[in-house]
Amino acid sequence: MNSGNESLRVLRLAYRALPTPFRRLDEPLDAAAGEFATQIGRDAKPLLAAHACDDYAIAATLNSAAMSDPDHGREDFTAGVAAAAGRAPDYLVNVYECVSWAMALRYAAHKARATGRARTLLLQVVDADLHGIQAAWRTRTYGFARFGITSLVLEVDADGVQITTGMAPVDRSMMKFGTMLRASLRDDPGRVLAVPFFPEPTRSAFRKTIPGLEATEDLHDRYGHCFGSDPWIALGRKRGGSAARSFLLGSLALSGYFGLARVGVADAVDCAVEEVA
Amino acid sequence: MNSWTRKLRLVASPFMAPTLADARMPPMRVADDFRAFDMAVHEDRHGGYATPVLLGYAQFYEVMARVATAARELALDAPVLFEVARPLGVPLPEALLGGDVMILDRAAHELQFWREHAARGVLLVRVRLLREALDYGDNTLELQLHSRQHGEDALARLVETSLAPPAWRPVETTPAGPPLPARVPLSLIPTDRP
Repeated sequence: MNSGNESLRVLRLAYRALPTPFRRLDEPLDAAAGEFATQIGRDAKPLLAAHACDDYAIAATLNSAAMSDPDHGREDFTAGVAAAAGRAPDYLVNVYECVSWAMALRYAAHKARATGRARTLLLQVVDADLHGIQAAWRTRTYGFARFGITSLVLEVDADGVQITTGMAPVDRSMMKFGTMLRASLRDDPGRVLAVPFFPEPTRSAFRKTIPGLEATEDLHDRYGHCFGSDPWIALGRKRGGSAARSFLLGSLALSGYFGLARVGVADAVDCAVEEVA
Repeated sequence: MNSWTRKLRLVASPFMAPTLADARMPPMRVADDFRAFDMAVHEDRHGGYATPVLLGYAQFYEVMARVATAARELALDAPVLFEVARPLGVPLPEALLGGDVMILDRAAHELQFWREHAARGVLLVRVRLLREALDYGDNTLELQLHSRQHGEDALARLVETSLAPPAWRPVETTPAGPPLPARVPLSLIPTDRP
C-alpha cells in the first residue's frame, strides 16, 4: 500500500506536552487561557507559513468556557491564537470529546466534496487543564492524563476519504470500538492500527478486542492518556522507527463515541513527537 | 440564495422530567468528580462560580436532535451547523453524531463557506445555554436557513415540527414574522421543578 493512494494524508505532525495543571492556583483564568491560546498559535504559525491551508480547526476534549463561550472569553481566546499564529482558527470543536479530531476530518472531507477539490487542513488537537480538574488527571479506565498540543497538516481529498464514527453504551463502548477496528481492517489489511493508550488492566482488555492485528505500541507508561492526541502520537512514534505508511487511527470517547480514519503518511513527512519522561 | 432567520426564546421547560440521557452519567463522574466538572464548566472569568446546572444539557441535546431530524426534510447538502458554547455534561444523542450535523463553538466562518459553496443550502442553529435552571427566558435558539431551493420560508414548518410552541416563543423573525411578544416575568413561568 502506498500513501500516495490515500485520500487522507498527513503532511506534518508535531506533538508536545503541556504541564499539569496548566494554570497555577493563583493565576487568573483569563491569563491562563491567554497563555494557552498563545502556545497554540505559536505551534500553528510555522505550519501555516509552510503550507497553504484552506482550513484551520482546533479540536479538544476538555474544554473551558474561557475558550468557547462567547460570554466568557471565546473571542479573546480566538484573538490570542490569531495573534500568535497570524491567522484565527475557523472554529473549535470539542463536543465529541476524544473523537473531536475525527469529526473535524469528516467535516473537512465534506467541504472538499462541496468544492470538488482536495483541501489542506491545519488541525490542532489541544488539551490543557485550565481549572484544576483533578478528576481528569487520573481515572480508573484511562490512567493518568497528559495534556498537550498536537499540530497536524493534512490533505483531504474530495473523494474516497473513509472515516467511521458512531457510539455505543459506555459500558460496552470499548468492545464495540474493537469490533469496528477489526471490521475496518477485514477488507483493508496491511494497515497499522494507531489506537489510544490505556493503563493496565484496561490495556489488556482492549488489546484482546483486536487480536492478531498490527497495532502501535501502547505508550501509556510514558505518555499517559493524551485524550484525542493518543493515536497521532502513536502514529508519529511508529513512523520514527519503521516504514509504515498506511494507518487506521482510532479514538474512543468517555461518553462512548468512537471515530476511525484511514490515513496515509508519505516517506518524507516530518513527524516530531516530543520525548517525555 | 434566500435567507430566513428566527430567534426563539425558551419560556418554559419543554419537558416534564429529566430525560434518560440526563441520568446517564459516565462512570468517571461520581459525586465529587461530577461537582468538579460542573464547577469547572461554569467558572466565570472573575473566579466566581455560577449555579451549576448539568441537568438540562441533555434536554437541549434532545431539542437539537429534533431540529436535526426535521432539517433532513429540507434536503440541504451542507451539514446542519450547531453553534453550542457549552457542550459538556452528558452524552450526545446518536442523531447528532451523523455526518449531516457539525457541532462547533463558533460557526460564522463556516456559515460563510457554505453560503458560498452549498449547492442547495445550509441551516445554522445557534444554541445559547445558560446556567440558571429556572431562567428559561434567557435560553435561546437562533435558526438561519440559507437556501437556493426554497422560495418560501421553510423555517416555519421546521420550527413547528421540532420545537414545542408553548415552550419556544419566537422573538425575532426575518424577513417578516409575528410581532414580538412581551417577555414573560420569570415568576410567572411554569416550571417542572418545585
